[in-house]
Amino acid sequence: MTARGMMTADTPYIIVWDPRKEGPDFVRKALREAFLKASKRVVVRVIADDISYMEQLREILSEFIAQTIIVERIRGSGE
Amino acid sequence: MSMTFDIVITTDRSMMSDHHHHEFLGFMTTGPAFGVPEWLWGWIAAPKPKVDKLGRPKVAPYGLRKIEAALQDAGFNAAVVDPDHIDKHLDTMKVLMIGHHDFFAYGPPSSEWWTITGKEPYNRVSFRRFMESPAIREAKRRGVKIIVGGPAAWQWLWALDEWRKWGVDTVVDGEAERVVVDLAKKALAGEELPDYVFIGPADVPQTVEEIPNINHASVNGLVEIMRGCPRGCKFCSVTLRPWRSIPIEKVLDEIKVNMSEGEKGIILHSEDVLLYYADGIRPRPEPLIKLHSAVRQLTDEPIGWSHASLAAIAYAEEKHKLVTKITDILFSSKKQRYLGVEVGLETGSIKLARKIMPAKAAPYRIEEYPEVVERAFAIMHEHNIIPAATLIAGLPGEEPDDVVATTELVERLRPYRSLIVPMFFVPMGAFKNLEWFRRNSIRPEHVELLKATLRHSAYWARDIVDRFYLKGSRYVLVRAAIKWIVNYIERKAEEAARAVEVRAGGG
Repeated sequence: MTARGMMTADTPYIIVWDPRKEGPDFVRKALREAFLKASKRVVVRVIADDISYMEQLREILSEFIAQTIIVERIRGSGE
Repeated sequence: MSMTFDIVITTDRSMMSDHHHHEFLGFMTTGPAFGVPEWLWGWIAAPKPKVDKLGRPKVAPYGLRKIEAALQDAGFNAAVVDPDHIDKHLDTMKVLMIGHHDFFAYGPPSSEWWTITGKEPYNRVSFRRFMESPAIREAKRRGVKIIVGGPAAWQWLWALDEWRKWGVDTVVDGEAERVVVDLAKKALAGEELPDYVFIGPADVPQTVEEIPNINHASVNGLVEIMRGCPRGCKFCSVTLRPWRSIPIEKVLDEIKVNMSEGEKGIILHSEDVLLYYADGIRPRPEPLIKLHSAVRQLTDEPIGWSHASLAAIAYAEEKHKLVTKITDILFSSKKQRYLGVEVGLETGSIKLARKIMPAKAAPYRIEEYPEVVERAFAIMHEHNIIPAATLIAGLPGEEPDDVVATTELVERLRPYRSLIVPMFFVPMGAFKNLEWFRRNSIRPEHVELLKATLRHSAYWARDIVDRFYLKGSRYVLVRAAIKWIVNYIERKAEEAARAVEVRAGGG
């Protein structure tokens, strides 16, 4: 699913995150960049098979309150 | 209307209750059973509401009613259903939406009772029981999508084991009236759902007109008159939301919905009722008098306030005699003798107040805050307004003299009829090792504060229960049970405080 289908109007800022390759700081940096570009909506696509990635992401999510953030999983590719 | 629903909206018993028509009894769900068996605690705090043949409750939490309205208005076959009647919809239900104030008891005051007593609070036990009930497990087995949300949505990020085990599909955090419609479409179309949605300012209802009116009765007739708060206190998330007052016609329409379904109570909900259409943080007489007069004209039943700030109470009375004018309107009905309200006292320390809530005393200076608190308590006492005041203790940056200042203020408030409840800040990491947290974070001065609030609240609780809150023969059993618990707490208070002291390493 895409964020464009989920919400309406503005094109969302897309972040693709592979927790096996990059730490959560990658997402923090990208969310900051999205904020500086005044994106109203951000989609974080996580390459993972389950929600364990949330353990790394939860603190970061609480730092960003000015945008809609949608976290979706690209399932089955976290092998 | 079809006889079963595609989308069922619900919550567990600790929330799906009218609390014997006394909102404050609902607070008991945030603690573990104390002095009485758990079934009796549950019956006092959260009795079952009446339901129809389809299991739809006569009343439901306001937040669930808003989601129901958003979905029904968008054409979905959706309804709020009581947690004991979910099985009636297993054959048609495709989406189950669950809301809560405190799914896992990680929020105040549940986290505090849990820390102090070492026992899981009733709401946490009740929610787990609900999620592990045969009906919910069967729903999941049949592929029903589970979407959770509400003010406690953030807690799921700290409950990954339960998220996995119970098969939650999506966690939604924020004002969801718009977003829930998109999610429902996706879920019913069998599309993949996101794990998590945080709703930012661009996706909350952009105008008050866009906020749907409830279609069915809310618990104790609660209706919102305002969203958001302009004070910007650092420990409060409400302040992050846009600040909007709801037009009087819309408020009255919702009250009429409640009345048409037999719900007699009225609670005007706002983070600060006196800031309804205010001039910044200065209460204005005209909108408040208009609102209260209009509601009083609709009904002679008691009208309650959810929350008010102490600074607004002091300013409204001192500048405009507004508390007198509003209570004159409310008490013009013989059915209303008092007004209950929650107030955030937070701290008696000017130093700490300056750091965490610099605008809390506005329009007065923050240096005057303790005096503003005392003046507001005196005004409320004179006008038969009974506050349930909360304190916040244990915040990072708090020093021993801050706690002592708060304890001294609590002692100065003794002449004023009120309940005072301390809320200890409990960081998420504490739940992994409660004993460690007690030893390292609860200090002797916290124990003194706890004792002072227990003494104050036990002193006033009997007076409030007897003379104001639970009058009449139909509440005889509830009244007896509450008094038993108050007596028990009083008997045990010193013992409990000593136990905390010892656990905290202070004794």
